[in-house]
Amino acid sequence: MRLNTRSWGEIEVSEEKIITFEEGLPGFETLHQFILINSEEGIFNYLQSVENADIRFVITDPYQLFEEYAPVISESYFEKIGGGSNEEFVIYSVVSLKEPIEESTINLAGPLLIQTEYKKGVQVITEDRKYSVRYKLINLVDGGE
Amino acid sequence: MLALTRKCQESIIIDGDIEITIIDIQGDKVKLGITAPKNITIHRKEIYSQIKLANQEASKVSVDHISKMSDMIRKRQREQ
Repeated sequence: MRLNTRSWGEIEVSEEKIITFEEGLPGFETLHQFILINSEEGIFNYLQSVENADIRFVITDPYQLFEEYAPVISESYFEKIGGGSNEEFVIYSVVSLKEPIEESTINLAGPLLIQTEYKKGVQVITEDRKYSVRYKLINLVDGGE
Repeated sequence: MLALTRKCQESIIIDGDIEITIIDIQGDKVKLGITAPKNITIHRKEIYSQIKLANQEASKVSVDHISKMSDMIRKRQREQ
């Protein structure tokens, strides 16, 4: 299908790759369908809304930057998107790019949990208060928390 | 908004299978116990609000500097 996006104009995406967020994301409760777009650089990916061309998030695999990352995720989130074995779930973190880039932050308190088999996702609200909503990316690269 | 008065150890039931019990009251702090089906997520509103704000901010950012950011991260990772 053709998908109109603010960042890349019209792009071709496979409908099979659409990830459904039944509850949307906090702040975007009416958007339910997203598509994962890999960037050329590899570190960052994008989560583009299918329903709103203007909405896309920069996301990253937090473990690439922070191996010890261990958010406490309530079982209810796994159940909500269909359950399954550990290998069927992946985690991404939302990145907020800033200018200057050194000020860019990563949301470690609200990871995106995606069930890859069912193509369902949910944004987790972690309860342990261990991680920040706006952690400086640079500090993560320079040696973790 | 529905307002109900409850005493310590009393509960309310929502939709048949969610039960919220007042466990303890100390001054202005109330401790709640919640039992709910496995697929019901429960969280403090202020954390939800922070994530909502962070999402709104993140959705607006320009991606112009993304390769600059990737390069910087790779460079720093190599240096370690």
